[in-house]
Amino acid sequence: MKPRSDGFPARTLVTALALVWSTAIAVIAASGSTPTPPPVGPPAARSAPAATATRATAPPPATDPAQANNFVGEETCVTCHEAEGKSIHASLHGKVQNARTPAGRVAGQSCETCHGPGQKHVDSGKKEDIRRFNAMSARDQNGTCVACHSKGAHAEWQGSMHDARNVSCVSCHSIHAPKSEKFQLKTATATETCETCHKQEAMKVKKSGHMPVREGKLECTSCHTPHGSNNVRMLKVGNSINEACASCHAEKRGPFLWEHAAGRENCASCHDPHGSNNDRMLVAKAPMLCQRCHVSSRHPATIYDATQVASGSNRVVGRACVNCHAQIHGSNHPAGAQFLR
Amino acid sequence: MRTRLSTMVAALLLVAGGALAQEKSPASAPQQDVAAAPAASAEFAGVNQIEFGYRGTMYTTGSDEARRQRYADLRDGATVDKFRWAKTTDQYLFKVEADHLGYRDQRFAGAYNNYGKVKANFEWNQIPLYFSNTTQSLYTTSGGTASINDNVQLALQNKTTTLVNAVQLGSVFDLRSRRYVGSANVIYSATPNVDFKLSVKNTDRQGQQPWAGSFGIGGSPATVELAVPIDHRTTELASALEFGNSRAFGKIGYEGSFFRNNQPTFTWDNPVRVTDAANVGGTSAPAIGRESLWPNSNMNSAIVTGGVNFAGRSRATAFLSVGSMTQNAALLPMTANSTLPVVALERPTAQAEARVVAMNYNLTSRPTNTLWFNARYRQYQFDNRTPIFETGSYVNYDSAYTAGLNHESEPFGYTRHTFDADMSYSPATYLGLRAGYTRAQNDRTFRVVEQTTEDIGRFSVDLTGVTWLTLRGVYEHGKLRGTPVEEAELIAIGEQPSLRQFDISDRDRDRVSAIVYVMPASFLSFSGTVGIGREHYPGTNFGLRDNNNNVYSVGFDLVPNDRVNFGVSYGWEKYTALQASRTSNPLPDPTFVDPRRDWTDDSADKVNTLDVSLDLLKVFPKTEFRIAYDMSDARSTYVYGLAANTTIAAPAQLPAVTNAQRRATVDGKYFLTPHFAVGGIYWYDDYQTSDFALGPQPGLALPATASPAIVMIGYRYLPYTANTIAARITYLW
Repeated sequence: MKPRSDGFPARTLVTALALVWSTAIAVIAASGSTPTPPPVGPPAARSAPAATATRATAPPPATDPAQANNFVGEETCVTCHEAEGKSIHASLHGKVQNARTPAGRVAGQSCETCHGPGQKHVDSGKKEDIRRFNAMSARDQNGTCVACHSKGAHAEWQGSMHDARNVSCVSCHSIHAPKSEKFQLKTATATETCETCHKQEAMKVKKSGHMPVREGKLECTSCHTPHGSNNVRMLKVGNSINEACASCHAEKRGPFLWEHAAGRENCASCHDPHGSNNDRMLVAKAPMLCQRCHVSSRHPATIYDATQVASGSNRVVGRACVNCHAQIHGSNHPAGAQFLR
Repeated sequence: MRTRLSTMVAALLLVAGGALAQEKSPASAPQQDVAAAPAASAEFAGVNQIEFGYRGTMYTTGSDEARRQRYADLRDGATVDKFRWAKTTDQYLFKVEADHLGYRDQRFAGAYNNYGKVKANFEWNQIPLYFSNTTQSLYTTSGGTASINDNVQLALQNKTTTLVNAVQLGSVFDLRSRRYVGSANVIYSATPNVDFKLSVKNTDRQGQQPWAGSFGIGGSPATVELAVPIDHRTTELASALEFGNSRAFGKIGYEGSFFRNNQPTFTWDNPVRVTDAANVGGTSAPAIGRESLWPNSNMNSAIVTGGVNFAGRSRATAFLSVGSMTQNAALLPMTANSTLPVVALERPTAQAEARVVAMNYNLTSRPTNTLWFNARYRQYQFDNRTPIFETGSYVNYDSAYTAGLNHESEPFGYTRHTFDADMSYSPATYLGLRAGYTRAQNDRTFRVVEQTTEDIGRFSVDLTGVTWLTLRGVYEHGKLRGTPVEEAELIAIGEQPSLRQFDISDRDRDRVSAIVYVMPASFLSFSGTVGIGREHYPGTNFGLRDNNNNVYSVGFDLVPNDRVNFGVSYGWEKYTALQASRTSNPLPDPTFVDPRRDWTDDSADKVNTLDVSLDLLKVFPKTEFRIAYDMSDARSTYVYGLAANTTIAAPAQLPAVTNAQRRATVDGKYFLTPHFAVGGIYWYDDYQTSDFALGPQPGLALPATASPAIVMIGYRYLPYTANTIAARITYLW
């Protein structure tokens, strides 16, 4: 069977968008206008590390004494913000040995790497005269973080679902007062962080059919990466839902001699990975679940009612259809065409 | 191939355009390579601690102790828990952790971080799965064979006893399995810009799980429930070389996964046959059944990915993964029944293989502070290259041989193309308005709908950063349509011609969700969420017709200071689905085309969830106190309906399925000194359930007649009520 196109000009559209975008960027670049971060002080302060850009820039060149003098150094910051200074150095951000960290990049400038030059703030004492994350838009906040966190687990942040929804890094993370053992989160665990927004999934995890999340053996981040990924649904592993599931349930990966079409395409056709009130985390109880696709005739199309239950029908009690069709995820047996063997 | 080439050319155009723009922006501040920060898994030294305790539980009579401990080991006894030790200097951090020492759910972990040079961690995690402690079976499982005492089989075969009586002789056993997961990861930073990564994960799973086998539709027993052996191991290996700085990143890597099953075959005795019989009631009666369990398989992938930042706060990334999934297990003979003809197999091994190619191209741009664009093209190709397998002749259930019955396998494959475009406009600092569009096309082989295309439009509002209000909402409308179906193909396999399997059926979908947080004061917040989804399947008369959900929650948190935290959250969920079918025989029987024999099943799943917690940390001198109550109460119904002019008997409606779980926790700790605390914890767990399929049954052989259709092992959903008290001593240093 050969796939047929329905005529939607996807390739043309993508190519056209790419050309339009390239042209627009070239025009913007040629005009010399560069986007500026929200003003935090006099013009001289803006050419400090552009934390709102996706690239981290160096401190202003020393040829401008006024600009160079806008940085006051960490020792000045901690004279008032002692607690924040201690908390930074207790975390990875404050490890001077690592040249990638705010503390290690430029000697003595750890606070101002993220908060911008502090001279104006020191002179006036006003909080408005320094970069404060709770006064910035989500994307401006994130621009500060991704200036450094731009590869590895964070390489796909830009364009991710959380980025698209204006979720800021500091919605989940706390640089100065984290509560978790790892990841510097605002809550004790990653799951608690996710639950603040993803209430539906949080309720599903509490159902009778569940992954061992509430037992502490799995977290949301066991399957998902909140920073974006190349997989769908921000799944951490693999390139499809099935590949993510098969990373733990490799026995179901196959491929098999006899395939079950619905399962080959998507495990979530039958299972709810967050939790369900049905056995084996099925989205509906068998045989009713199976009857959503298998209508045919004879026993797949039979009504399995309370009379059948009372008579102990092997198509209802216990594992229902899977009492016989045990190899429902796929069979490698020559007689496994209906997954009976 | 052409599609892939065009896509790669388009991606290269993006990169070239962006690079060109970058070179033409001399006004930008001079760039200095700033190495990217390490991956975000900051380990803190924290507080060193260890906890010694003793735990005891009282269950009410008849409680299902297994279900209560499904993924945990809560046996009575001494406990050593929450061991945390770390040593940190300005150069490195070394940390070890241990939980639930000596119990089936114990966990060990360690991490070493030489800042900016090497980062390593390991974990050993044991995850038990306790199905039941009341399972009972005539079978004894050894290796891959489940056998019944020959004397019992002979007695049943000769009808000197009945199954109903014989199953009472079965041994009671614990039905459990366990998963041991060992993993280790190393990141070596060769330079501030270059990382080499290596990770290994090994998962060993052993034990038994509920299973079943069948000897035929009408036999007695037709089906036997069994405890199938599990003994397999999965090894995953990943390595990558990654470069990154403030302007670009690149990565090449390899990922492999190797599944090995030490029990690839499962054989089980027929309770009523000691020997194969050529003819019993018209079919052969085998002495054993034999299944292929999960075959050894491998998955290998090579990955290359990279990204570059451009002017206009733009970033383009590209990802390519090329790999394969292979499985070439030896095929079992068609049947284990010695009285049936041997069916020659057209090949001795499975020769199963799928080539997998995944691509992801993404472009994000924020040319001004108020505008944000994102475009993504994603492709996933599962190219199933397993040769079609034809049986020639066939044996069903190891008992029914049919010469010339040729079953032909269908090696399903598919290719998914997904294009997403989103634009966000921020008219105010804390407000984002986003509109987006997705076009998803799915091309398939060996399915009645060869291609489906879905168009999805979406709009979202995100209001954040306002001190007293956070609002997020999104609406999506999707329309999925497929290519026409050759209805004759459906009829040929005995299916109704107007059936469409729901995963490839035409579908109209609307979804809206919203969350709001209101914080009238810094110590008080209220939250509310709503999620509504509607799925309708037009153009199909059978199968799933509608699938809807309504989810609501409200809550509030009172945090007057960092020592008091009181929170309440209530959620209500309702999931409904409507499906249709027709009770009939296959053509040319006239019932197949008789709409008076149609029936529907209207299912509804309603859940109430309540969480209440109160933390009092040092409110009373030297004490930490926590009270919590969690409840999840679910009720599912399946209601059958008939056509107005029906000719089939009215069904007896199924009883509701209920699952109600409650846990109350009281946890207190008193610090005798800043380093030494004593305390206790009390858990009350209550689970009540009623399940017509998995609840208590009249016996293990059903129906309890001379010819039961199914022999069960007694794996049930049973209630439990448990009171656990634990005393503990915590030492911190």
